[in-house]
Amino acid sequence: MKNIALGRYIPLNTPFHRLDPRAKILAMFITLIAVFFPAGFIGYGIIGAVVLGCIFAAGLKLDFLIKAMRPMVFMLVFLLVVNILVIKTGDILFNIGSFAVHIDAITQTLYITVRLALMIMITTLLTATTKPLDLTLGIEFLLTPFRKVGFPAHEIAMMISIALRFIPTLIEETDRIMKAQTSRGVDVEEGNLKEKIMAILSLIVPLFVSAFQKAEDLANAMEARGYNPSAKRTRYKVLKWRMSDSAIVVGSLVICVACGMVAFIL
Amino acid sequence: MSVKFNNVTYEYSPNSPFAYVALEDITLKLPEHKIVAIVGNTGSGKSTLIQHLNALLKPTKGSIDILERTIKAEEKSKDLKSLRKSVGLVFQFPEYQLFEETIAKDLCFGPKNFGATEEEALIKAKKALLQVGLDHSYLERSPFELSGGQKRRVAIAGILAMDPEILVLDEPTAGLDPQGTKQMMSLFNELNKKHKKTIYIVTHDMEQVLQYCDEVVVLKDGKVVHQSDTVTFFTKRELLEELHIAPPQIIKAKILLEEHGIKVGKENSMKALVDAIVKGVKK
Repeated sequence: MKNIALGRYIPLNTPFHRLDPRAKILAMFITLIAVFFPAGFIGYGIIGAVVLGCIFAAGLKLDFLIKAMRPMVFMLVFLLVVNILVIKTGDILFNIGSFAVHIDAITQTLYITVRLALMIMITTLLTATTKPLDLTLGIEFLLTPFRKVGFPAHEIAMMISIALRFIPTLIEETDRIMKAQTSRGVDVEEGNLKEKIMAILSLIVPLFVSAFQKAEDLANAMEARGYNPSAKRTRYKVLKWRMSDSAIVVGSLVICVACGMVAFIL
Repeated sequence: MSVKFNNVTYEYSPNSPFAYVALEDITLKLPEHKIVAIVGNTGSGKSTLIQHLNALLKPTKGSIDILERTIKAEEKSKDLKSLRKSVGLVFQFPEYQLFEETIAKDLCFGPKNFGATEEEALIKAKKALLQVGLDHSYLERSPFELSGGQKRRVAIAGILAMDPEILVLDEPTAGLDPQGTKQMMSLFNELNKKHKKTIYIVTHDMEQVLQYCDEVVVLKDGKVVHQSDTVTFFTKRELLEELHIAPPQIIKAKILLEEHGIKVGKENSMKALVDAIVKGVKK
């Protein structure tokens, strides 16, 4: 359970880690938009090269990236199968019996794979270099303008930061309960379907009980300290926008425009 | 010898920025049919150590002999179920492992996983429930409507129902009231004396160590720094001080008496202290 790489913060001190979270969030969004342009493999080549460069500059290792992408393997295999069954254009690549596999099915899948890989890389770059609390601080700031139309920016940010705060706790808890049930003879890998369902139940019920317990305790603790979401408050940590922050936002805009041009003009 | 650690090293998340060596080259023999206390400060590796007894964690280096089995590093162990049946592990705050609708079902869960039939499991469940001091009227109740202390007892009964040879407990009395603590400790004492169970217990409470445990193992920074019988352990005053362990009241009183020139014998009991004082006063 402790090996989950997706969304994990890696404590290093690189220029990337020191960037303003707001800049990183904005840059992430802009590059994600770029990924959604149908810019073909050329466009993705550009984004991929830049993002990979940034990832190495941020001190992240390749095997960490691979670990982060592992959860999507199942989805891609599923996608490949569906594409092979459905897509009937392009040259025939080879035949399995009387069933023809077309080249477009493969390129389509590859296209989506690259897209997904890029998206995971970009979001990983953000979450691995930004402390969860800085991240929510950034989100809150960026959402503040929407308060005028009644959007509860602070409440949402507080909810996100609580959720993020409890991810490691819940992972730890899951690990603990899993171990406790394992020593009571639960075996998740072996056994028939009924035993497997029992094994999952024996994990989920205690997890829910303890999650609700924790939620109640936290709510009481916040109330006891007079938490009021609508109160005006100052910050312990003040965000500072530097030149480098503007640079990364402008850089991502350039990529986005370039991809747009590749997609719609060329 | 029921358990032997041979040069065991354990490292959490090796080859990552979070790598952390929790146990370092531990060689340790734990005796059979005794109550052994495992003490040490937070982060000294106690919990990591006891998880090895159940093969929940496997050594990064070295091997462990447990009840005619050997668990080696880098070797896939088969049939861990039989090991887990003979070594019952009670985690800290075990009440979190309850999940069934009724206490009877929850108690039967362990035995049934280890191959008992419905009837056998129920017999074991009833016996275990009585052992922890709850009567059979609890069988059909939901474990979630009990008080904290009762939940703890049901959870421990869930392990006892598996009828393990070795019972390993991680701070079983943490958060219990004095009454509950006493009942719990007498239960373990009885299991050891009457049913010849081997009991390893992680604890911070030196009073419990003095009163119930035969042997003491001290861990510090992932290493075993001391192992002896309990009486000898409490005579090592420099060691206690070095480990920031506050000795039990009786030992404290003994030290104070000796500072005033009153010699107390080897025995650590209230009676021995009083006798020594009376003797000193009469002189």
